Amino acid sequence: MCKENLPYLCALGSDPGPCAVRLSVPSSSNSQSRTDSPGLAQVWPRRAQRSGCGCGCGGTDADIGTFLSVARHQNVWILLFVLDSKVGRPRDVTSSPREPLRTCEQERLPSTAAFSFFTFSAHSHLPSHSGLMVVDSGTMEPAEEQQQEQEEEEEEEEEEMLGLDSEEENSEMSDDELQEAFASGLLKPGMNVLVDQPKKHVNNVEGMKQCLADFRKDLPWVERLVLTNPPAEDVLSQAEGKVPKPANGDVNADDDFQREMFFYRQAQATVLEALPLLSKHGIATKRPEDYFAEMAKSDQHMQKIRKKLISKQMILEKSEKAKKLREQRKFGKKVQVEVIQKRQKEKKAMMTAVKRYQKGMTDKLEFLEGDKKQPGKDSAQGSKKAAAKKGPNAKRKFKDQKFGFGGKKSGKKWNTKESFNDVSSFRAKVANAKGGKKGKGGKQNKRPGKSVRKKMKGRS
Amino acid sequence: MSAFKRKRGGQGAVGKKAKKAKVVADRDGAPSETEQGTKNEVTVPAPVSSGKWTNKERVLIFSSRGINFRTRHLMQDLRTMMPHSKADTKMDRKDKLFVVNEVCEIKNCNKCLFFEAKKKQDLYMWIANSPHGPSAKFLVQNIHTLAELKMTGNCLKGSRPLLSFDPKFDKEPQFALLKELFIQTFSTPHYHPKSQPFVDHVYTFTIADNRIWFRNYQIIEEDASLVEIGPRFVLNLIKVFQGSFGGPTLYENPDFKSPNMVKPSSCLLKLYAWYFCK
Repeated sequence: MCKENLPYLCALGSDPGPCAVRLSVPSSSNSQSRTDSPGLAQVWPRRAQRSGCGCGCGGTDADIGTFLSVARHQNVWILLFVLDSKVGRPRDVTSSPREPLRTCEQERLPSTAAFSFFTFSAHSHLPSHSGLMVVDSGTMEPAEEQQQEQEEEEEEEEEEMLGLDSEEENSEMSDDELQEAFASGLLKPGMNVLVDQPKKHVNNVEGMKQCLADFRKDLPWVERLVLTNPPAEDVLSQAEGKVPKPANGDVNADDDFQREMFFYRQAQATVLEALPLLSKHGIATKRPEDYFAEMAKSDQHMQKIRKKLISKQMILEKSEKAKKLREQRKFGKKVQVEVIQKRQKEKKAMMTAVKRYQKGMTDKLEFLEGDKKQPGKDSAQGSKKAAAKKGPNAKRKFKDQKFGFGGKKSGKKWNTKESFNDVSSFRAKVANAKGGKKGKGGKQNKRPGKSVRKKMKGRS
Repeated sequence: MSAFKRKRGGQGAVGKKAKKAKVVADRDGAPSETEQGTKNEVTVPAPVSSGKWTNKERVLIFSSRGINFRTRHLMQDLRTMMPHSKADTKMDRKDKLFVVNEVCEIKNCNKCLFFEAKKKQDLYMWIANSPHGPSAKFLVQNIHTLAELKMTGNCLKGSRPLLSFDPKFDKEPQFALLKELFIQTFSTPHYHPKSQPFVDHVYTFTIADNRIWFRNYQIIEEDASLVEIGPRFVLNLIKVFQGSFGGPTLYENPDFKSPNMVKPSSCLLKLYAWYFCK
């Protein structure tokens, strides 16, 4: 990079606001334009100077950093320089580097993260197509996006910039001018780079046709066995009534299955068309059984393939079997549970029947016979019917007798002829039982007394 | 039988068949019967001998240094499938590309399939008509070789293929040119001495997603049931040249993105590296 190529740069800061950096060079082309710019003795390494803060802090020329390296990437020069540790955003810099910093409202950039991208085009007569960004790790991305945005606007801005620059070259760039330029929208923050014209791709149609005409060989079909055809009809999917492919025949390359089926059907269509042609020319497609010849894949390889296919099938079968077994087990469990429940129900029914008999509600012993005569449901219903048939129970009857039908029966005759002849309250069992249960039935439990138990214990 | 002199365009194939029959004979001990059997069967086509091999196409298939195993297998598969092909040793990358033309001339080949591996990742394929004709450069992707166990088909070694093209090949001039190149390169000439007289497989070339997809199917039944044999690959056209391995560019694919462009430039990488190391 030679000295003449380092122009006067008008640089603008990143999104929060504009800022300008001037790269002082003693280059002959520019020096007369800035009579009172401080010239530095050497071009390289360069102390970057900042000439005024756009946000109105009022800072003037000041050193802000040191150059590190330069590189060129696709028509953009990139200069790396490190801002001084006391420098935050350029707007933060005050009049001289030795004075303590006067901070702006915005926060200061940490020194470790402060480095800047500095770009300018190779054309020295168009100096101001560059922008300065103070980039820290967080804001690196948006700045680059801005660069892309700026690229389109680059073309339009060029004219205005040119006009602006010619003025500026004559006069020293001041903060106010920059502010005005920014306000009017001519200068935008971010990197402004020259963009190449879009690359033109060669498409020499005539040349290709000529070449094809020269190159083409006219041979009979038998020599080349070529067919051009779209794929055959998709019989399966039509039969299933699926959605047909797009009519233009464009296959979606990402849908693997559809794509492969497309190729398959294309091959099929070719084969269907070609077979009659081949037979016409006397070329066979089927080889006889005893025609032994070398194959493209060795027999060993085909054995491997066969084994793989068989193993795949085995795995499938095994998994099917396992699934079935699991299902069966689940089913078996269900059946088992049902059987247990049924048994429990039967037991319950039996117990209730026995209790009924014990309480004297029924004197039938049919529940002992089990399921033969009555299935579980019928016996339950039978007992219900019997209960219903009996009508209200004894308690109800007594109360009806005492209080029902108009109240007390006191003062009425009793021991009349009718009441004497009434034997409905006769209980044969009770009457005939000799020394049966007394009251509640005597001892409900047959447990012997303490003395008897002691005797039993002593004996055993 | 062994006394048969094997001539090109003469009794060559009959001799070959006889040789095979002889091998069978060693096992079975009935040579004459088998031979007579093949002669008596109507379905056996006329042997290769009864025609003259006129369409003299020879394809040179070779590669540069630095290819990986998949590419090597692909090359071998193509040589297996194409009996009219010849092999050559690897070319040093120091030599310029037009040297390939000279190699072709030495080998007396008029077509060339040259595989070039860059950075041990990208595979480029050149297909060229050797002395004067057009050539094209492709980026090859999605390579599957014959040896993959999912490709269950098989075919005779050296049997002639059917070629099947997408109708899209006729619509644009660059594809029409490529179609002619493919036809002349991949189709086995009639009555080639190493070819088998049956047609039992079909190559398909299809255009999808602006790329050319190649598939190879075996014809099992007369009702066109097919099984894939392999190999299979995808070609992404880069450029078509008027000359062989050089010459003016006739066509450049605008949709082609070089694999290098996907990677960031070394300059930017250095900057980023410097920043993060700091």
